[in-house]
Amino acid sequence: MQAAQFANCLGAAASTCTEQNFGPIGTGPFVVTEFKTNDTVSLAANPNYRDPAKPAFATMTVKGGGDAEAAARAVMETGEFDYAWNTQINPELQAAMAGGGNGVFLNGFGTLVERIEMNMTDPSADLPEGERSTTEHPHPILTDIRVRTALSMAIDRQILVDVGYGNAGRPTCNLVPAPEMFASDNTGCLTQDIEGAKALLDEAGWVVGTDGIREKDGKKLKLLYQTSTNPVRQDFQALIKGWWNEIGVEVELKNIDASVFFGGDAGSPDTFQKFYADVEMYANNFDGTDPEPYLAQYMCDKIPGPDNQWQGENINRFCDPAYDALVKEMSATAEMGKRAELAKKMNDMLTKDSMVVVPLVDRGRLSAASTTLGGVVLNTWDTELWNAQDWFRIK
Amino acid sequence: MLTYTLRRLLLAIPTLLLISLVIFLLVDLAPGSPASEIPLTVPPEVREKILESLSVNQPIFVRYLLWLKQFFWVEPLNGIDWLFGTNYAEGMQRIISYQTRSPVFPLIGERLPQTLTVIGTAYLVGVLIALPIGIYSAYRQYSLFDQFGTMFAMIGFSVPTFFTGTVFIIVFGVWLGWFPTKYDTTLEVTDWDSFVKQLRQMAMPVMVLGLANAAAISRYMRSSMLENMRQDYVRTARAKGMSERTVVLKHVLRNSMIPVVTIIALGIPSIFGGAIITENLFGVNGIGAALIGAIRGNDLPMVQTLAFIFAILIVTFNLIADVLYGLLDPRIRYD
Repeated sequence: MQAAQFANCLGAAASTCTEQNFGPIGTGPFVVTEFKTNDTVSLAANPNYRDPAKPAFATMTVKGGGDAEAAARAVMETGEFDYAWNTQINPELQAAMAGGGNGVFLNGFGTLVERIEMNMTDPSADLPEGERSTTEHPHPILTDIRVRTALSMAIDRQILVDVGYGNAGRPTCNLVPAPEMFASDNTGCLTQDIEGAKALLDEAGWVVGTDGIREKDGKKLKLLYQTSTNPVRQDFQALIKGWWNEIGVEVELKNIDASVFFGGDAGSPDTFQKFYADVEMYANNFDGTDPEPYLAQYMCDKIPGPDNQWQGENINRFCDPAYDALVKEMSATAEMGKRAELAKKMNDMLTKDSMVVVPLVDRGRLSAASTTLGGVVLNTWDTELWNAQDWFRIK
Repeated sequence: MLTYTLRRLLLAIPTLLLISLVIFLLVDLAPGSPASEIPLTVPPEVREKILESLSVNQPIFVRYLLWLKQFFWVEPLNGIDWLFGTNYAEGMQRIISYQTRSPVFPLIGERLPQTLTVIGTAYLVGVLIALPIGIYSAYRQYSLFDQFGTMFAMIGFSVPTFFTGTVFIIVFGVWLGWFPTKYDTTLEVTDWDSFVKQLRQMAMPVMVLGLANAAAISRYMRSSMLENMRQDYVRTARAKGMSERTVVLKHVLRNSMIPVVTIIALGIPSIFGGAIITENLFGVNGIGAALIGAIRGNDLPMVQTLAFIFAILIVTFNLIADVLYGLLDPRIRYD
């Protein structure tokens, strides 16, 4: 972007620069001619673009709003639009629309992983405010790795993918599923093993009571499972609750509106950082270049708590000096092969070695493209318009 | 009449201020924060800085008084600047939306034409359909036409707009391909072709909303006509030898229109805020869609400003409806 245009718009002054924000000057193939917030962006071909023969299109219109289904319909059925991204629709609808012949669905995978985080601290409401979900009180049930492992073993990730994402997802056991050089060879969690889970819980001392719920020392194996309000997530919650009930765990489900759950409001008890629940589910990703900052989120000093307004990134309050040491080592390592090794080791420490992060689905991107649009290459590491200068109309 | 109007206007001022305070407190005290719109990949320090720059963290009364000052002083000055090219509001902090980080009033100005065109036309079409249906249903009470009219009204009332909208999209958009399913907000009407295009893309939202509006108004028209058809003056007019047409369309209709006109006037503020579902479904960037987007993103300045504008409109049109009632009906006199 042009430095001169934004010279007076840095820091707090950013909110005063509407003209610049809505009409940035850049070096891409298109320039913004009109910007209607939360609605449309109108672009025209950049006359000063470095390749005089490109882009092939004179104008581009980007329309926002509506839901994924309407966007997919506009490309796949009515042909009003040539490309729609993030058309996360359920598998039956995908098949129905693809059969129309107007367009194709493209899918690609990045680093977005839907996961369950296990709370290593006690979120009990009996504790005073300011001590709930802090390291002062370890979790009475989930600090036992056998319980965490059993909970992970009871989940059939393939069914979750089939129900929720179809082609747009694949089961995964890794926190860092990509790029390939950083992806650990970690597939042990992909097969569901109900009997094995039950055996582990028996071994851990949780005995099935008369009502089918396990108990130990007078305490019941009861978990509060929270996530954001989203139909696919609620489906997942229902399925996972069913499996956990099978192995003798009582589950209470809770869903919170996304604007509150992800809002980070220090005054709200329902944010994912406060984690006033036993397990919670959401998705996170990183930019796909290098996972060091992403893995460094799980260091001991990044735990959210009252002293830092609950702004930390170590959501499950995992604290292991060996892990912190690995992070420090990685920050001092330059050689890519060694970095990859360290990343894989850290990924394993969080997933299969400690089960504090239980990855479920590697969520890919699903986009719809018209059959008359050529030159489209799906890129999950950047904006999907990354090669718009190469797009052309197929005659 | 004049003293009545003045009294109502003066009473409206504390009412509106109280409304603005209640809305402000409701939105502010509700859980959720504008930070949820910022993606998780943004590091916490930058997130804090963004929130700081929006002055989200100041105490509640400071923000309320600041909003009052901006709404009643800074924004009108900006309006005068825009109209007359002056510079009175240079450097003054305007009401800034948390979501877009741009001033709220230009956003409203950008969206108002669509709302007025699409939703306003739908209301007009609804009224134009409802009146003849209501009149004829009352004239030929219990006839086949009346039964159909009643059924039409029932459907319009009970079927929600998101259902009719989706059905219309599937039937007219996908199967028949007559109308586009997404509203093109950049379309400028410069010649006959673009005018036809505009009509085509307006057709479905107008049909959906018009159906819902027509249902309600046709019932009011019908019952008002029925009441008047039984009056003695109708018998007198017929006895005097006037044609049915004159009796119904000149005498009875005029008297029946009095309550219906006030109901139509009361329904006008709903044009602005009430078409949220339809706007979202068809991609019309109207004010209702802006409001729901702002509520979702905890965009307090936008919600506050829009809700306050709706409150002003409702209070104004309430007053207009009451005054209109007094003007049309010589039997009513306020003091």
